Amino acid sequence: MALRAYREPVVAPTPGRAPTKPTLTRPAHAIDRFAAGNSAAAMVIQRESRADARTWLKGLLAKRGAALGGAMAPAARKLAGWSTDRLTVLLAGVRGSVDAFEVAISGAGLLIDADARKVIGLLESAQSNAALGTRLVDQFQNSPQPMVGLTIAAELPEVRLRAVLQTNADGAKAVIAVRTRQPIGGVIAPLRAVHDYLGTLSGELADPNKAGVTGTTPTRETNIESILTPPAVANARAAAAAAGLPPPAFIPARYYEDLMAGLHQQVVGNFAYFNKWNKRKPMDTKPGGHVEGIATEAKARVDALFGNYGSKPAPALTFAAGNLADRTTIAGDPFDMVRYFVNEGADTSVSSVQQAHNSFEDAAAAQVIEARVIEHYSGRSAPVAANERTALAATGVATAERIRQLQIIDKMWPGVAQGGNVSLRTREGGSAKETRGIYWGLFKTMLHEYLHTTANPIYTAWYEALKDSHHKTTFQEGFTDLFTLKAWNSIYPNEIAANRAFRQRIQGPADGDLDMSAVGRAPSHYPELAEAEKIEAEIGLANMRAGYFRGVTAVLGGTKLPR
Amino acid sequence: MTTPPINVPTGGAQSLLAALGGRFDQWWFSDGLTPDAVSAAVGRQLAPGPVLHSGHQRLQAVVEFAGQPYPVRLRWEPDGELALVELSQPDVDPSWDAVLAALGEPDVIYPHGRGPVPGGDQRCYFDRGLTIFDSAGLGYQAVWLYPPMSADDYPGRTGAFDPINRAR
Repeated sequence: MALRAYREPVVAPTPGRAPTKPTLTRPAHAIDRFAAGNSAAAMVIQRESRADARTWLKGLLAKRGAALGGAMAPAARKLAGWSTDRLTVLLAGVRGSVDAFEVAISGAGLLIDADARKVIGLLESAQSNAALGTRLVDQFQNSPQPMVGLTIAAELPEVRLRAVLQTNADGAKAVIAVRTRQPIGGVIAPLRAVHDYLGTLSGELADPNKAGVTGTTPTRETNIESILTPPAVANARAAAAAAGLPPPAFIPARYYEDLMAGLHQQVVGNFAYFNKWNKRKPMDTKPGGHVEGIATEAKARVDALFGNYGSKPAPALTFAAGNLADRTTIAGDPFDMVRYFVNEGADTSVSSVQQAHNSFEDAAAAQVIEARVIEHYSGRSAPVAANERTALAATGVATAERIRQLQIIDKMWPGVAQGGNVSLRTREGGSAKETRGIYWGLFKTMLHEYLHTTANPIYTAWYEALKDSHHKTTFQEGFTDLFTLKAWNSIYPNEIAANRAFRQRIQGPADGDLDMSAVGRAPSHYPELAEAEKIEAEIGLANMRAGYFRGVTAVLGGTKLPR
Repeated sequence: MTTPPINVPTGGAQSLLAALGGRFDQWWFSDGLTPDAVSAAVGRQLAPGPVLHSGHQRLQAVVEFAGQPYPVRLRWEPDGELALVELSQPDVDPSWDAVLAALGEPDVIYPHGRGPVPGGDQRCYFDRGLTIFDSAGLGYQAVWLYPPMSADDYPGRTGAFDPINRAR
């Protein structure tokens, strides 16, 4: 079987092209459908000079009346073809003309035109989240044509809209105002979904602990149980049923030997990768310094979305308090590294063995064998049975060397959260450009790890009581990945492109350059993100927040879980 | 319930210093081990910061001590009382055999497989507030010091079974 190397989150897109939008999630809310096409033209190559583009943009913004109608479709295509960088820079120079242009579009009755709405969305997206929040609040509260504000809102990704409104001091009031000033009866059809959404958001802002939180139902529980069944398991069951065969059953024979071989393959691949990091130059991790500033920024971006719902009480991560730490200085834990590879972080070399032996069908029996593999490979104890001694010896690596390699992998792991503390691999790259990308990788990791520190202990104890590691990982890591991705999508790409001060906090005070290839793509994630997304579609984000941040686990599984 | 022998420190800063020096058999919790008291005992001013530990708002400092190979994590309750001290791969004095013999049988041994040191059986001495993480072939991976507590309170107050979360 092919070994899948560990993948870092930093990926450089083709130079000269706009970065691809992170589209790991299906739109979870109807409003996302409005924003779905915003970066569709990201693959268009920019041939036009910046000066020519600026001239064209000024001409567009000067159009009024009848000249507007025919201009919308080509303008939408052209603006969507610009990189985030170009759009942000050019718009910054003509921002003062945008409002009158949009009023003219509205006055001409063009808001019914999807291209016109798209143009407005592109013009407004290309500014910082703070500026966008100010703009939306002003539109919602003061604009003579509040439908323009609704249009802007409709064209934004849901998470960005939520972040900018929740972090603006007047956001809650403005949401109420726009719905009062523009009752649903007068709202054009394409904007009704966002009007409804703002109603939901308004309710959540008024009562964040209760709004949208609903009790479980038998149907919900059945559906969640179905979601938590791994696709490979479901497929195997379906195939057996279709063939008239009995349901798949756990196959214990040679499970130890096969798992040992798969585990070793995964460790070999990981050690080859992580040992390179072990030889790199350490970053500056002094208290109050650059790396700590990245952690502060990660907390702010998570709290912008989830602070009202329970994340905010978690303290900032600081080196002084020790809840932020340089992972490269720890001892390294061989046992936990192996436990992770078998239980949570199984690569294809391990997961394919688990699937082949149908380990999911009898988790308790499989775990007995898995526990021995973990014990023996990590060096905690030595095998006694002849077949197990043979399987371990077949790795060809002595115990002391396995322990050494596992410790290095653990010390060089990108990020770990435990007991409210976050530890990070803080090593520089081989060049300034690579180090810049590593800083963005640290930021993404810190979004995820900070979220772990905010999880309610009742929630943690609840999923820890689940028997199957796949179930656990869905709630432990899948939920965290879902929230991480939402935090990332609230800033990518426009906030990153428009906010130089933000970039300096990530890249370092002396480096405010916009380099989307260093920014990279969405944070890497566990496969269980897919299950978390399905659960969101089944029960809604409000219930997931209630469980994760506030420990209201009854809404997650009711009587069917834990089991 | 065991009681401290009369010829060893019975709590206080001296008991903490002895434990930090590897004499875990001399550890007995006592009130008053505040950040200031510990600072005075170790001869340097500690500046703990706020953390959220297993749902508890606490103060924490991470300190390097001579004789211990890795920094020691100290946590206090908001009122200043010591909540938990964590030593990683601790050095012991004079030997593990001697210390374990002096300690006697633990109140409870939780089997390994979960918690922040999942390879370690948790040998808990609840009356003195001590857990030794026995990881067999991997050695004694950690030692925790904390106030006396019941077995029922142990997981919630120390986070002894809280999971490790790794970035993918």
